[in-house]
Amino acid sequence: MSLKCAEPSEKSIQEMLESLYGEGVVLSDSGPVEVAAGFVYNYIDDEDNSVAVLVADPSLVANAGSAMMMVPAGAAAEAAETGELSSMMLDCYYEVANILSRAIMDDNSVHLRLEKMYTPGENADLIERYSGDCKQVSYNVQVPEYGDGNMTFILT
Amino acid sequence: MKILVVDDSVAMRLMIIKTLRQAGFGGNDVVQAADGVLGLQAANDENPDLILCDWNMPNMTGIEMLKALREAGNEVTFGFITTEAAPQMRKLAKDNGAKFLISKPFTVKMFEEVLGSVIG
Repeated sequence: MSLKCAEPSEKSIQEMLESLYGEGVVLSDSGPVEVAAGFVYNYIDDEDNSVAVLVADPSLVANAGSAMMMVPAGAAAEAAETGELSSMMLDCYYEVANILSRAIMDDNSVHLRLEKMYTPGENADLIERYSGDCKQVSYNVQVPEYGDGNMTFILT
Repeated sequence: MKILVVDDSVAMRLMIIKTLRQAGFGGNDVVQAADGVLGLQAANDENPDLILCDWNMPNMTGIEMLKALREAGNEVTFGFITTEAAPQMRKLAKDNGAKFLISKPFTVKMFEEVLGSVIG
């Protein structure tokens, strides 16, 4: 079955993240972030149907979110460790997820947009829907001068 | 010049303001709004010379805000800063009176190139 979304390439994600953080973003393959365990960013089509999610672990949200506004790396590391993320970290990573929407859109995909972020375990419907047999693309992201974290795109 | 920055993300508003400064446009007054409804209100209250606006926002989207401004006869210079970069969205923006569209993620160079002739 063909995908409604484009499969995100490592190159496209690398370029988008480097536009935000400068050179030095390191992407590598990683295992998937479980939908129920991560922050879930829901992408919807023009009929408001969910067509993909980005699942990010708390460590990535803490580090990548902090780096956007130059929150001290120590605070990011502590948040990654405790899982207690500030609203600024969440707001900043929301923008990262918003920008990454471009990585799963192309001329052949549906038009989509970021609908909302759900905290880990918050949206049971999305967890059920995306825990099945869907196309997944996962990366570990090392944020320059900060720590790393994992993210998984799950596409329909 | 007074610039109104409209985006539902406070982080993005701050990034836009920082990038304006880095691109050499730091000497302008900047006011902010968090969605299209508040942006419309700020456009009326603050009378900005330029509006930099996100597209997808709660309550009122950027394109709805632009349409409302034009329907009210407000011809303020209006540009989008958005992840919406597809040709049909650019056309929609232009057809409704937007002067430019800067796609996210943006760079200082993009601000210099696009806004140089607008801000002067």
